[in-house]
Amino acid sequence: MNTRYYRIIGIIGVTAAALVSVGVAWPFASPPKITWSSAQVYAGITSTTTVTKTVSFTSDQAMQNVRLEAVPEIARFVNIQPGTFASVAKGQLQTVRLTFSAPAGAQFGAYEGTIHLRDGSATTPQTLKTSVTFAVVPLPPDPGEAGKVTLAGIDSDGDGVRDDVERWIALTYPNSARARAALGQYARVQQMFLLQSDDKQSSITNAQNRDRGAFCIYYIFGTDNGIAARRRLQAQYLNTDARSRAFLKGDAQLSGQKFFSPPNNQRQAQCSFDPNTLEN
Amino acid sequence: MNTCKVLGIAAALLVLPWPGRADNCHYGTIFFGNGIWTTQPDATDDQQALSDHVTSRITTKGTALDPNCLTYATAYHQNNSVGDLYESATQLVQQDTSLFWSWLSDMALMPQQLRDYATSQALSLTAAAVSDSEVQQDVKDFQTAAKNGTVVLVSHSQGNFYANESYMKWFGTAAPINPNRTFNIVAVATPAAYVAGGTNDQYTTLFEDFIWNVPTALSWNITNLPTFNCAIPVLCHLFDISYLNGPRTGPRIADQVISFAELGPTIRIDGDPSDWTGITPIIVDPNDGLPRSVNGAFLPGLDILEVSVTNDAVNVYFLIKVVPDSMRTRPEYPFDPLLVIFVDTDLNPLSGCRWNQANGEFGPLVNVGYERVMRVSFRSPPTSFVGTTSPSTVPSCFASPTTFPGALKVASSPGFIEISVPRTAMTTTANSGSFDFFVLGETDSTRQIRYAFK
Repeated sequence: MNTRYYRIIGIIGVTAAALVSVGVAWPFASPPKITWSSAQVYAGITSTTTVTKTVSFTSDQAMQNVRLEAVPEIARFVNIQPGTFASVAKGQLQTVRLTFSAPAGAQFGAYEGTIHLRDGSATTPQTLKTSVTFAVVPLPPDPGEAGKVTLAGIDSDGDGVRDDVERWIALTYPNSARARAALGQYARVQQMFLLQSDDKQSSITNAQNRDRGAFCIYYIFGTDNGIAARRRLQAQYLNTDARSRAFLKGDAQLSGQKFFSPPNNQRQAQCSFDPNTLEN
Repeated sequence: MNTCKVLGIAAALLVLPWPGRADNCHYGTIFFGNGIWTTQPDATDDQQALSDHVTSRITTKGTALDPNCLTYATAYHQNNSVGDLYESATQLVQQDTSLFWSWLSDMALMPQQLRDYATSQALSLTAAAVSDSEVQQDVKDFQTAAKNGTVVLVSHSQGNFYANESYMKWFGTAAPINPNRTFNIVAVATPAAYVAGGTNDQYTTLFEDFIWNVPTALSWNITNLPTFNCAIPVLCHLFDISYLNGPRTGPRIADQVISFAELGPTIRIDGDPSDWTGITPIIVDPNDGLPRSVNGAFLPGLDILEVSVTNDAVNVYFLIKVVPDSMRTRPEYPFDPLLVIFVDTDLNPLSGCRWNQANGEFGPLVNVGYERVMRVSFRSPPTSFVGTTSPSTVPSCFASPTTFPGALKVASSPGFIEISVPRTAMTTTANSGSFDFFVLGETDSTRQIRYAFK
């Protein structure tokens, strides 16, 4: 290498140092790395309720004129405050308030997307995964595959109904509180039936209680529609091999048993709730 | 006897059972015995559909049967057909086992490969798969239910093997030796060769169903074609979708259930007299206050107040009310407090045992013969025994009790006793329309009266 070569290298180095010293990103350097305080954020909203979540992030580089944006899939459901930052200092924690609410005309359903930082025309690759479920009642997040790992699954709100099933009920039957209550009653006993399928007496007791749920469903839906709804719910519940086998095991415990039905005029009394107190 | 009492008795003698009573209550239990590919919750679905269907049919036919007097239940048996089907489906569903349960709910959606397997399962059904211990439990449960009325078992598919075995275990034969129709099978889509206790036509199997291809199975005897086509063979075997919903099979099944249910008792012998409401006593015997001591204290001994009688197609029922504090239990008399009902079944005073009514307040009955002498005790639990006597062999009506043709059922509470006796035991070949009877208590008796069957 000759002297001239060393001179060029020296000039580039000095220039780069000068640019860094005045806060100008090196055009050939990697983009800022954003670290979010949580990997993802979830909000279960209804038409009358809003959910507010506070998240924070840091950048490993100083940034100027930064905007926070949600992708179109969820943009209608979330308000981000503040939505812009004149500058983001390197390593400094920035707090953002996300307010989720249902826009007019929105359809019930689960909406998935991300929130990201936009620096000029560039988008930072580290996005905040964001999920919104708009339903008639506040719902827990979709457990996804994690909800299939164990026999019990995930029941994050502790209501006795697996989160995935609770979501299915609410999103499938948004127009009837009675239908949701009846299916919820059935689902709670079904959960007990699966978890206690090793024990014969428990299986029998749970099956008797499950029948009460079935008769409540028949009362709410009518027999034909009730049978269809109950079977759809059962298919949702038995969504893993372990759950299917636990169900079959418990079912085998019932062989030889008799299950008596209430008179038709006492079907309503099989509901663990008072249907008359629910609007629809 | 004072004047009022005479008038009261005379009035009672003229009063027949109250025609205004709702005589449409026939107690019974309708069991649904599930078939192949059915889990317990599915069986409950089918049983509920059956209940709705029978109730609707009762209304459609305009029969007087009160659906609210019928109890429904499921007699569940699992022969692992669903488990086997699940195992064969695991490759098809991969990880999404919900898919299997959706297919089971709607077999029309089931892949052909799985449907073929299901069909092969059904075609290989045999009675050998029946669990003897479960049949024993079934018989116990059916007999318990029979105490409260007639039992109808609607058995579908493999459930017919259990139904037949239950009948055989109960009665010792498949022949229809069940005269009171206590236990009745309505067979649907049966793979069996016969219907225990039934006639040749007491089953329903569709031409469209494949089940009659099971070796030795009864042949098809009905079709819903062309108005109703179940289309897919496995669907044609299903109880609810194909048989209950079929325009011919549905009414046929319901009608068979109804015809058996109508044989159910109109009174339950359960110690609860509420189902006697509306039945006017055939004998009214006001509180005599007899006997009393010289200072007016009541002396124990059964003082009869009222006797009510009714009947249905199978049984005759008595409700006898007494003054509660007239009942006494003496240790040396094992059946105290005791009532005796003397029955002249052939309306012939010259036949049967003789009983001279010496202590009764209505005076003696001279040389009347009784074919049945039913002794019923208020003891808890109440007991009963019946003597069948003949003047030529056993002149005394209180000879040792012998076996009575048919069970006499009794339930009592302080102040009353309910009795059920098979109707066939209260009549003779020559007379099937009425019988004469009187009731004897320890210190009281009624006048002899004639009861005509409704």
